[in-house]
Amino acid sequence: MSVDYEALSRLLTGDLPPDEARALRRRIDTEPDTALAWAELLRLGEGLAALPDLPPPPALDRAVLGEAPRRWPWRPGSRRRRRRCWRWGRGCGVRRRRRPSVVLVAGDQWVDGQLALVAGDVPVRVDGRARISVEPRAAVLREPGPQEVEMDGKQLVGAAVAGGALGALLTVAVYEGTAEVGLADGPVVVAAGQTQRFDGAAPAPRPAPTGTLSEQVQSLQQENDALRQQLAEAQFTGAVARGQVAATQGDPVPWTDDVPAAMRPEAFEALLKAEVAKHPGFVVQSVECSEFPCVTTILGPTGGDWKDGMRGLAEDLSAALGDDVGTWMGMALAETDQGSTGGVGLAFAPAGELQEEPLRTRLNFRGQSALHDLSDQLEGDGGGGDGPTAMDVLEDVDRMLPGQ
Amino acid sequence: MHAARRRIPRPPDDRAALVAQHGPLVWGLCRRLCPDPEDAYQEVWARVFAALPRFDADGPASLRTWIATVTHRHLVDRHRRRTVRGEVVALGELSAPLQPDPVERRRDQERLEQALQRLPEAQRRVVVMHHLHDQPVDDIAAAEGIAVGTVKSRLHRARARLLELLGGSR
Repeated sequence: MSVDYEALSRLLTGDLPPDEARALRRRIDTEPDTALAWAELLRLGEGLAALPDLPPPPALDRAVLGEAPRRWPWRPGSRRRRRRCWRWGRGCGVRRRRRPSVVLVAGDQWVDGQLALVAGDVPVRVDGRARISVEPRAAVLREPGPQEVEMDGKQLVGAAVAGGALGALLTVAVYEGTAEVGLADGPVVVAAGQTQRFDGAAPAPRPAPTGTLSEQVQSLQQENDALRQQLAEAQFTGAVARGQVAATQGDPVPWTDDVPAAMRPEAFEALLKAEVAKHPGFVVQSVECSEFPCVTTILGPTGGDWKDGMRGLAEDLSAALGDDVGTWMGMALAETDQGSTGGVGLAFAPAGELQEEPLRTRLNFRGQSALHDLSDQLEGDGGGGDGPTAMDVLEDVDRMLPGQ
Repeated sequence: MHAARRRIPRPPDDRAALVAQHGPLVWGLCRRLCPDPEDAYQEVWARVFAALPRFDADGPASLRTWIATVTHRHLVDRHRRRTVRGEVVALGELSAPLQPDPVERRRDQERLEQALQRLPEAQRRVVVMHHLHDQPVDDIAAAEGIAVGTVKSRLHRARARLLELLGGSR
């Protein structure tokens, strides 16, 4: 019999009706799984209460106390004035969505999409699919205190606590797209298919021991305590970052045997091209099927109620894929002096799965990444001329389910 | 006749002591509950300094509790200002259940921090305020602007979710 954690939680706080409480207590007494879950729940409270608070980076405290410039919230759109505007169904005032800042202290991090992170003490910007590995060197010693890392105009003081990672070995393996590694002597771009290792800063030389033996022991003990503190802070930072990445990007959804045949990559791509060919002016820009479901971006004509045209294409594709197909859709409009271009991101999945985790989160991430790619591509095509120069980020997407 | 003098830290001299003493509390809340903690941390302290003259040292709340409440409310405000879509949690097995072994404690704490980050933000706030900062559900409800029952429901759901994320038995 399955264990109802919520009911156990209600029992714990006395929020369960008496008869249900008695029944649940009996289950705790007689069912090993329920008894184990109860014990885990009790330990959970203890574990949460024991989570440590860590001191903030000193530079932040200096800023709070007016001893250092205040770090105003970073806004990516403010760096330069946009000459053109992409709209996502709404007005041009929508800001580009802030992407997460991630600090990787040690271990591996898979990145799928666009992400700026600090690996060890090195800023890395990934646009594609890449694996970032950080191997701390055990013997590294460093001065305590904040490190400030410049990334996208934002000072990341939090990266400072990645003390154990200073002097770390950084490995960047790129499978699609690129990764830009911000080394001190200039950025290095790692292209798709390449793996590069970067040796971190050399450890500071240890000063020769001085004083009596007991003083040396005391000094080493202090160093040890400081390193333990840095390690605790780094582990905290790493854990938070890993959780944030997981919450933002979701977990990849594999192709399983029960995926409808029409949604499988080759069939989907063939069907997509056939359907798009029936809609004059529409061009398939990308199809990405590395995981379920395929995500495609399509450019199309604008004018009049252009969104109806996009929606019509989505509905035709959905109908061609079968019954009970749900649609993820985001639309964009690029306005230039020469006219406008519409863009749409589409993905299809069985209607019942579209609203469920883990597909929901993952599809949001992948769909928005595809639209960012479309933006970047168009931005590149514009070349600073008359083409569109920017695209604001989609915050709201349509989920069209059968019957809506 | 003078009224009893309030023990109100007077800026600017006492601010450093205030930040030094309660900085970890504020930082912990910002780190756990906010996607841009550096900004939030500074905003919270600006709000604390501004509201400090109104703190009643003879009232029922300690300075620490008061600062925690100011921080909590500010983070709720920030959350409401942001456009956050969806409540995101993908169940992932983060490995074995919590272990009482002290050697594993650090690893358990890391896993717990990870699991916390995977909770929907509204659930994470009530868990952090209640379990990490001993805030009664009534106070949390007042700061969140929601009913006590809603706070309790969030707590129950969050505990259940945490246990699932930590790989509890089912």
